[in-house]
Amino acid sequence: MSGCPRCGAPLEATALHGLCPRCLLEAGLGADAATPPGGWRPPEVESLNALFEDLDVVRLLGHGGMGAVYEARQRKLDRRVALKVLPPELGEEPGFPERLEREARTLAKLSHGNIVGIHDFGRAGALHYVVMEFVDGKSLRQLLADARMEPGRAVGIALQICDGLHYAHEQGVIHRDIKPENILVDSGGRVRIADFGLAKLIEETKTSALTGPHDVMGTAHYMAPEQLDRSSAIDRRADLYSLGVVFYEMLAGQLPIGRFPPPSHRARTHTHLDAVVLALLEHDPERRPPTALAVRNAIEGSAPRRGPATAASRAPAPPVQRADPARRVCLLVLVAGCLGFAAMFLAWGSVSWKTLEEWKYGKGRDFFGDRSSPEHPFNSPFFESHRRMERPFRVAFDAWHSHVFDMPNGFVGIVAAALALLAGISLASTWRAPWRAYGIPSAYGLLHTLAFLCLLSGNGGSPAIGSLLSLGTFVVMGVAALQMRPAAARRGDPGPAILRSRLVRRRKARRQVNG
Amino acid sequence: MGFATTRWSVVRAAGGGSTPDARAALETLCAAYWYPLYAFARRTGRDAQEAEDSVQEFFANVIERNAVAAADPGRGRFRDFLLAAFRNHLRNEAESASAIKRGGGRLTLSLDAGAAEGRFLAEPRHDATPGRLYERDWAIAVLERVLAGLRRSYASAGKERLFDVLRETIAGGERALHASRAEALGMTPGALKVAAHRLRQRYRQALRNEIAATLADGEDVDDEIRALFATLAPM
Ligand SMILES: Nc1ncnc2c1ncn2[C@@H]1O[C@H](COP(=O)(O)OP(=O)(O)OP(=O)(O)O)[C@@H](O)[C@H]1O
Ligand SMILES: [Mg+2]
Repeated sequence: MSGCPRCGAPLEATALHGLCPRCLLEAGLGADAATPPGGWRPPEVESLNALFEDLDVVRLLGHGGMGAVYEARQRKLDRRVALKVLPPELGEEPGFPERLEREARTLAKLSHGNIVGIHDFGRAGALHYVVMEFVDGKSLRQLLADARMEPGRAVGIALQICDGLHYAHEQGVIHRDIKPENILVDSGGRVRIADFGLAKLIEETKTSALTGPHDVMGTAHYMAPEQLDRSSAIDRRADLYSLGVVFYEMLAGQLPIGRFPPPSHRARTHTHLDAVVLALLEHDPERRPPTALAVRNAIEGSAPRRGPATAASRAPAPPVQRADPARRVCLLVLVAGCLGFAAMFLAWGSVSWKTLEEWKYGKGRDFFGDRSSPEHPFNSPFFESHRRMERPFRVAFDAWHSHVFDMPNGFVGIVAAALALLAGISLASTWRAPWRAYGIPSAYGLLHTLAFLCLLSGNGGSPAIGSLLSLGTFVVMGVAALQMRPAAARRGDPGPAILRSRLVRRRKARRQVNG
Repeated sequence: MGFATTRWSVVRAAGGGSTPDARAALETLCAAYWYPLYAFARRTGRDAQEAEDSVQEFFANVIERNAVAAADPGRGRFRDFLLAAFRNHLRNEAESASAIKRGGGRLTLSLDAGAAEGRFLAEPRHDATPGRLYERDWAIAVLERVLAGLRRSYASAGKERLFDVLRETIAGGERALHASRAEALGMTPGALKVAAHRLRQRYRQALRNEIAATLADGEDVDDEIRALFATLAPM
């Protein structure tokens, strides 16, 4: 087994002619946004020294999809600078020098404490280059690789990115390539955004026939959907999406891929940040915050302060978990549900899956009608959505079943242990999460399962209890339906308004009476 | 490639194999993605023969007996449906210890079981769950199908040699196209670059079509690509 030369993932020689499946998949993402010019080796330090009279090029700092960056010293001014060399293919493009000039002039006007400034640009031999401020520190990519990031630090960095972005956006410049490699943090903790506007320059070129490694993780992950899908024009909100990905990665330690949970489900971070991050990651730009300033305000507003936290980079208060009354109700429901569930299974012993299936297609068919007919009420859109809600439970149930299905009949002990474990996990996650995210589906799933078991157990079980439970299922579903406006649900606000506001009001009233 | 009807959404819309279109679509889809199931069966403790029998029996069930509706088309993607239904099948098989009834005039797919077993044995051992490995196998099956399809269409234009040279550039491989390669194909380096670009475009389109064919209506291809990407994370 060898590694993919592009992303480093281990490769199996047997499949796909030795090509890397991950890179192949990535090549299918969106439009061809992920294909910058490349396949290019950064020039040696010595050869650069021969090209630049005024520069002592010290070492290669790194290279990405659109060039390589070197540490250098400007002799005349005796200062450290960073030299970015662009791939020679770019220079061969007609019109590129003019565009570079235009772009560099705009960029040179950007002067902000959180943006890497441009000193100079030009052409030396076949190479186009940009000379910029040197940032003595590490890129966010390196910081993320070094150690798990403290939530407070992540917030400090995000706030500074907001400042830099907002300034540039107000000047009419969109970055287009916000990602951890382009966020530099100097030794004093100040954040500097590098490579402003360069992505635009690259995008406009047509030299995309040959692609090389863009970078290890692939830039595509950080790009806003409208950026990937090239048909639509992009604006500053594309940068805000990328900021959302970066912020999520800082908090959760992973990229938000596929169906991702809010950051607080993956790490001990403040649940109040979830709303901000998820809003940034909205697919539709209209639903993202309109400006970086709004993001900054949302971040600051969402973190309850303790004591005099003034500097933006100061860590906000550590995660506080106030006992929300709604959460308590939900936990009670869950505990009761889990216990009941376990008891039911213990009593129930080892009825086989086959018995259930036989019932479903035998006796059950007489009872409920032919399930496979499209007219059957269970196949109505209402139940479709219902099934979508219960999907996680179904998957869990399947997984569990596949482990036990070929065991002997006496697996009750294993079942009980597995259930206890599941209940524990579900409780733990509910405790930390915005309760709506897990609470309602868990309660619903438990009730539903109980109802199902009661109804199915026929002679031994109690159809009456089963019916009651299924009634409960529908009540919970009703609450969910009433409360879960989709956007609100994804932002993970803390609980159903009805339940909360009433309890809180009652409490307040009591407090007023007492005090 | 007849993508118009070979789609999971067609099967779903028909609520099972009740229309000829849907039945044909289901058959094609099953034939394309049986290896992940075979490997799943092997990983859950069946030997080569049993695994092959299970897969055959399963497809006969699914395709002939209108089992799609019964197996709950509420599940969105074909990938999820197939595994869930197959698990059900294995469960039933395990419990009705009665011998497996094979053949007997029933539909059989032409599975190259020998090749499948060879491939299965060549795979490195993993600790991940069979379910997770199924998803990984699935992702690879999708890619293989797309590459094979592309190769076929290049071959039909007499260009398979070009395809074989360019294949490694699809994902932007490290090795650039050397001029010598172009010469060997009797092309200019510029023309080869253009050809590489074109192949990449066609590949992207084919991959997206292939994936779209396994999704329910309204599901996002990019999301599925990212999900498959995640299943391929090093384990
Ligand atoms: N002004 C700078 N000061 C110090 N180090 C820098 C500076 N600019 C870039 N670097 C370092 O050089 C590395 C390479 O930068 P480069 O911009 O070439 O690639 P990238 O950011 O990974 O990808 P992209 O080309 O898409 O921006 C960065 O990861 C960063 O660590
Ligand atoms: Mg950069």
